Amino acid sequence: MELLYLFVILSGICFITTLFLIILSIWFLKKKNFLVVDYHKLDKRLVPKPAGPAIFVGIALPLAFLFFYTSNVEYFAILLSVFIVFLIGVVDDFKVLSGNMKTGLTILGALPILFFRVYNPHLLFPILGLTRLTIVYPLIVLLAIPIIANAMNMIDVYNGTVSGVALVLSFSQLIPILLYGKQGDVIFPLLLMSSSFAFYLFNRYPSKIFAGDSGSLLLGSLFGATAIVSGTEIPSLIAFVPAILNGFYILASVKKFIEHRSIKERPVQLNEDGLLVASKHKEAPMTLARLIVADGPMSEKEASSKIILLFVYSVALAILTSFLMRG
Amino acid sequence: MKLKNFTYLILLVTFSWISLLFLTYLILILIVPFPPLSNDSLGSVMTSVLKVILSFGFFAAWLGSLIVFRNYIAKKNVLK
Repeated sequence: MELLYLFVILSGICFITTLFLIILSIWFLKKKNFLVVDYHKLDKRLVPKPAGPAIFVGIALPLAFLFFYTSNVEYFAILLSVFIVFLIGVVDDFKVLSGNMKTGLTILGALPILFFRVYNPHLLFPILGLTRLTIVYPLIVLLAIPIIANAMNMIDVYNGTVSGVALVLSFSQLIPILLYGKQGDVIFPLLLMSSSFAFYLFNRYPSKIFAGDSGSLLLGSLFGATAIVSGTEIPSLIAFVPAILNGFYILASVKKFIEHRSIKERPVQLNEDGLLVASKHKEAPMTLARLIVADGPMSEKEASSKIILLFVYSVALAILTSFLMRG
Repeated sequence: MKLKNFTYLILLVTFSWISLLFLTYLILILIVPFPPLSNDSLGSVMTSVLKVILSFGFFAAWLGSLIVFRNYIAKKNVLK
């Protein structure tokens, strides 16, 4: 119980730190002219990017404190994993990496989890109970971090999407962790929740700051690493289904790992009223962003809310599954 | 009755959820416990290779079904 109080205080510190650093980042990035065009606005306004460093510090401080306070290597492994993926994101923010290079490099984020062996190869399944995947599991870890981090990066399509999705996804881990009584792991979804909520306040429509690759990749790697370390792989996978579908559909459309800036035919276009419309072009990738706006011209705010709502639904399915696993 | 595109996406996520659970059961209940084809080491290796190929086949079929579902939505609502 004492540990839970400490976790709540630390997540509060994470929220305040991230909030303060994002305000500072907006000021600094504007001053240094680190601005990008918001393509889904008629006025093509410039928005500061990236928020990744602010989010990273907000998450890293509580994790570093917990490692020194408890000597539990889980905190250090996740911190290191997130740090590696964050660094790759920072490089990509300032010197654009190719799709293959970025995806390949994010595999490095899985190494701390494997090296410190902070995973349990006994996977819990609904109805089946515990299953033993001793040989295959390290391979799953090696693939999970890059897939989840890059899928989170691909979901960063509209104002507020990546921060809102990360916030919603945190519940898919928090509730199962509490349900399984793994209170020592509660801090991870709490940190994802508090940092993404602080970020959401500035990233929601109309965005005051963008996540950048550093921000979206690090939020994805924290979600992926938490799923592995806390043993919530199945609920996390189910909650993450819309992002997996989006990533897979992009991959199936363009037939290779591609940097989103190099997609020739944009899946979503802006009409003269400033509303989003799905491209009718056959060459444009069939992404979730395109499928969402297929109901007709809609504002970016509405499109972003619909994507978040889809994740709310998948998180509800994930929580339902975790109850089945308990039974 | 014409369904809204968002309803199709909800159905797609539901289908992915059910089929993903079904796929894991298929692999864990049917494929993983399958006994070796023979008692020698070659039989054991052959069985392992067969298990990997079968699992991969089912996984590819699952991905294929997601593509079919997406193409159906796209044809109905995006490329019409």
